[in-house]
Amino acid sequence: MRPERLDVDSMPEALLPPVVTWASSAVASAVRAELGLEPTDPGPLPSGARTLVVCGGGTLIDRAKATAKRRPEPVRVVAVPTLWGAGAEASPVIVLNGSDGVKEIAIDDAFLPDARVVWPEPSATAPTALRRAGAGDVWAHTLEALISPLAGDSIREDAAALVHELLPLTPGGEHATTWLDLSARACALQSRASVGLAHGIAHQLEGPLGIGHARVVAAVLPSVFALAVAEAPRWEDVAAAHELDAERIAARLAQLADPEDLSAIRAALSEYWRAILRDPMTRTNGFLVRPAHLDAFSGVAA
Amino acid sequence: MAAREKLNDLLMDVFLLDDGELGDELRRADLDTWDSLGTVSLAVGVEEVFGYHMTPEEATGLESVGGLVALLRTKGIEIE
Repeated sequence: MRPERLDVDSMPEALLPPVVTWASSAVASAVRAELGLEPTDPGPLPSGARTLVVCGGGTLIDRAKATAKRRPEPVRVVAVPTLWGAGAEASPVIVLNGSDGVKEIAIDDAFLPDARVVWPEPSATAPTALRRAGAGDVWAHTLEALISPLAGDSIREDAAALVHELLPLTPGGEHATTWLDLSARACALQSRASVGLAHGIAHQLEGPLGIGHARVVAAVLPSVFALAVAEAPRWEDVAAAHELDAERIAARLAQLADPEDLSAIRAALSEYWRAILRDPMTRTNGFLVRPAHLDAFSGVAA
Repeated sequence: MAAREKLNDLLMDVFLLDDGELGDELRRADLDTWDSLGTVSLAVGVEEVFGYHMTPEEATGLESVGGLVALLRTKGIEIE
């Protein structure tokens, strides 16, 4: 089951009134001007609401999914991602930040948005660093699904096809519509195959370091991928079966990281390594992550 | 490295154990890290170290280290 894909022009057909709109502050004025919708502050939905349009990143979209779908009479969710990467618009997973700093993670097909809208303009004008980090999240969802111990042949085939489509694209470059579509597909894979070490690291470090999820993932993914090629029992077979070139992939991943993020992450990795090893995301990684693997990140800083 | 040593290293890394906690009598119920995700990690580790891909039924059916040793023996992997 996938959310219906809509373009901005066809979005009005999916909006059953009364409509409530949430938008991140960065796009609120564009939502008014270009989508003709009036954003309100995120919070409890008024009784009688039938559609919640949410324009923003993964955190806001996940909050909308939880708010709308946990009601006794669920409200339609129309998700409009403003950047690629998180893929919340195509995922049955919600990750909510609790007031105590603990993340709530829940998975249920009921959380899938009813429609996802491809609106390339906000992504196309986002800062290059954010676009590049979002590309890192897309790559991570794809590669972690590719070698996931929970993946079957069908997921591997889909993930390998995505790798071939991602390879020609410059991370953070043009082709916003393509990135948004690939992001949704990668996230759909992740929801079926789980994620791995890059996400386990991000899960543990993004809060304490104050570095966004996608930026942490993008920074560590080159090292995680190098470890996967060396250690994952199924990498060689998967690569051969799907004609995947590890060197070519590694060259693309090397374009993802921000040098300042890399330095901060390297400085913190050792303190958090044990928590990373115990993180649920790390424990569905495609190779066994061992205490000694911390050394593989010693060169992660620029 | 002997097979027993490889197994012990694997178990320490999968379940984040110390040397002193290891033994065939160690049971799944004794370890908070031997949950469903620990089972996934163990299956990945066994494939890496011993080249044997456990079926989901084999992996989830394990109740102790002794059970794992016995399973590996049936696959021709002798743990002294």
